[in-house]
Amino acid sequence: MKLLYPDTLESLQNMVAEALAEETALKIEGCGTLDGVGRPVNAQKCISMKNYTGIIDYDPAELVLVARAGTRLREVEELLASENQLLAFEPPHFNSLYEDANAQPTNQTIGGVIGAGLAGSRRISAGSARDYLLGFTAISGRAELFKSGSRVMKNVTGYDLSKLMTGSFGTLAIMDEITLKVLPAPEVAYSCIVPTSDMFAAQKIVGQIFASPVEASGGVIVPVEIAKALSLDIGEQGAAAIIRIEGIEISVLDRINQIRELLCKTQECFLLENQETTELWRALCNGKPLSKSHQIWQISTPPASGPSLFKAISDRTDISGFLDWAGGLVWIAGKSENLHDIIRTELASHGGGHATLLKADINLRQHISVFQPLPSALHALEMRVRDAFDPRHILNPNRTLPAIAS
Amino acid sequence: MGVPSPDSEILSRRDDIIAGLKSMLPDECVLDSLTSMRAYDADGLSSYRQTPLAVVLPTNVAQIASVMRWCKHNEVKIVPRGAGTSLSGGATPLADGILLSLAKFNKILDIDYENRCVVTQPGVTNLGITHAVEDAGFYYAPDPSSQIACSIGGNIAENSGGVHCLKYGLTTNNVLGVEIVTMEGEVIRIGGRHLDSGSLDLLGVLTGSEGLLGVVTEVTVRILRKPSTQRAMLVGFESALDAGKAVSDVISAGIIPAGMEMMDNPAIRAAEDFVNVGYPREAAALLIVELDGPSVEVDALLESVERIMRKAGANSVRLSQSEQERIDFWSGRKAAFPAVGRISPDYLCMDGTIPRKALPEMLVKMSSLSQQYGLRVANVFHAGDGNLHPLILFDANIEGDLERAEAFGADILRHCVALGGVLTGEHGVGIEKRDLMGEMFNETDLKQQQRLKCAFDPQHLLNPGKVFPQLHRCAELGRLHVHHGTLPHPDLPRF
Repeated sequence: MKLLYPDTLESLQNMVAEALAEETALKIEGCGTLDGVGRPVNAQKCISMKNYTGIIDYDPAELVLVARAGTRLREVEELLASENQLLAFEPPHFNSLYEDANAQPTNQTIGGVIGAGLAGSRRISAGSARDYLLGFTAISGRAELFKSGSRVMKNVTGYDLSKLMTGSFGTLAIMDEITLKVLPAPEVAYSCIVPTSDMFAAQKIVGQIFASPVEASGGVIVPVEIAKALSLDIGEQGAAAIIRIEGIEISVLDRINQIRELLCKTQECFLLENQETTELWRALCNGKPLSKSHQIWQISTPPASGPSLFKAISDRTDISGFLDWAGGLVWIAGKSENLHDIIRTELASHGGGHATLLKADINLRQHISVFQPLPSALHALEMRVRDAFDPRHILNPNRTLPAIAS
Repeated sequence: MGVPSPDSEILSRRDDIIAGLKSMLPDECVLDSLTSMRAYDADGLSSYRQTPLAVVLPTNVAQIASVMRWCKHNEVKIVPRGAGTSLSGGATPLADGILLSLAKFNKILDIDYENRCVVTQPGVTNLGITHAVEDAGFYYAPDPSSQIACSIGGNIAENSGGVHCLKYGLTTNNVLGVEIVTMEGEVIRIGGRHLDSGSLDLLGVLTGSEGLLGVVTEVTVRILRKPSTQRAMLVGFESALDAGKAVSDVISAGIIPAGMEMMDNPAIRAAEDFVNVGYPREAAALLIVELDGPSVEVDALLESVERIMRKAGANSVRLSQSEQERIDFWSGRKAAFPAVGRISPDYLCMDGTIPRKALPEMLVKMSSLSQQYGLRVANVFHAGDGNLHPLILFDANIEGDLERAEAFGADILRHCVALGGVLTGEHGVGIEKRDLMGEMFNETDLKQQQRLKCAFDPQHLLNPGKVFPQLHRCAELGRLHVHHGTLPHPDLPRF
């Protein structure tokens, strides 16, 4: 595959125009960290955005940052941290999932984060990448430069194409500049860990806290083996609820007391302070407890359905995993060859939602639907929307192509 | 401004079209007399009135699907309508189009506290959702000023905001799923009680699409637990510029209030005369800052905000001491539009957004434009997110006044774009700002947006004449212009 490294808008546009004229498919990537997500792309050329870097503008008072698509996530996060700000959607760093443990620190790009629509544990309270992309410029599959959105917080001028771009895996257009909303970083963060008998009980506790005025910023349910992998001592119990509280210190301490009252003092609860909390949630967001597995799934389902879905799958095959988003994001790692069949059938009868194969060898990704199959009318509509941006299917063809649900 | 001129061929088929509609719907669901259709001839942009070809009020999704399918087959246009509170003419009827009212879709279908969401029909009001869940301590966060009347389906169409979206987001950040009927008459469900889409985020792009892509027939929204404490602060400034700067200073200090509103002197006076809650009548600008959360947090942050305000030059600061007082503080702001209605025969309500730091510059520009046009302007702002609502005062009985007011408004919006902002923050483009789209987008940008429209509605039958200044045929939009050579065998399927 011929590698191309655009570093100016003009060179990027020319590369797409040439591919369009020749009708050659292009693989689109940042630094390739997320190459293992989605179906393998069969293309003659690859546009790597690794040199397409630079933070164009950062205005802390306006809560806005503009960066070119290849800018490293790490660089963005470091700059924000210097002003006590952050990306509230807590994008995971998935390098540890796909690379070997000795790999260099993440090269993940901001374009990759938006393209894959990544979000971490704070998704449940603060939103996802889609909620923070204020605007962008991009080169479409028609080799045209277009823009959508703006750099202000409140904008309903024209269709919100930022939403479509987020999670489209480079199949609609190649992003040039990305404008993000950023937020102040919380002053402190505590974790409250409640050991329980099983994941059902843990999810009830998390649900109860999310239905209270405590304003938790994360709610995770782990079975005992994952708790052990995270070095959490939950004694003889079978599972634990992990709740994160962030904000100014006086408020965080007050809310922890509220949690204790909610638990009616019948349930033990131990705390982790700032540093340990940061490390724990980074590990959870990045799927670290499962990272050595060769087949990993993420399933989005209604939060209350999480435990029963997890149990239904584990009753049929050997899996490990945990629940984030108060129960609504099910992480599953397994080995079974028919795990995808089990997941899709159990999901349909346990609350519904969508399941994505996050990591697997290339063979499996080629032969099963990596993304949730769509009902035929929705599938047809989605194909028409794709054609509106990339009529000749030159951008990452087949990467995300969903199957039609039977 | 205005809508496309009617197609005389369609008008000549009116009797057949009405007969066709009556064959699909019970008689009482089709209105075709001038008197019965009068209530539907305008939305909140009431200077534009048009009687539609007919009004249909279906009662179930199957009826909507058959009307849409029939209209597509017979090439008849459809304008969807929720409660008709759009301020940009999103539901302005077409003389040669059918007005599709969702008014009978007025039931909440399910309240799911376990998953913290509500499934509802689109005709339920925004506030109706909160009323249904408030006994259990929950609420639906987006709160447009029209929340007592506006429908949740209309909120999806317009991506409505409100005073609390600074902290809680717009409609798009609070909706989990929709069911839509496409122009083909297909019923499509997107999202649900879970988060995000496993594929393209069509829910995100439907939200705010102003009724041009599909008719929303069911909505799932997330609900939040009410914060334990809410307190508001009224801050008066001698200088509007200082007030503008204070807004930026609060955000810079890392504080995101639940709401941060600003009114200028004409708006303060009008509101105070209307509600008498003790707004400082002499102040050049008034800020209302609301914080919510645990009481210890609210108290601590209010202290910080007060310090920032005083440093920025505030000369009066009042804190709400009771829930009633907090509501009183808001009452003037919430009544600002009718209050201004008392001091002027007519007013135009504009809606642009600018970067917060440009607020002082915008105020200066607005007062010079006010002199230039010889029209008064009263300002209410969602200052925390830079969203302006200048109210341009005029008298429709004076010849040329409406046109001057519109020109004044257009200049304000042009200046918003020049300052790095946008034409509309929450009211939508509709017909009102349609002809200004070129200020913000070039031809390529607009064509790309219209290609998306073509993916949903290639014949431009659904709410045409809104949002886009010029309608291009989808076949023309789909044509590829290749720069470096020609496409071989363009008829072959690719990849």
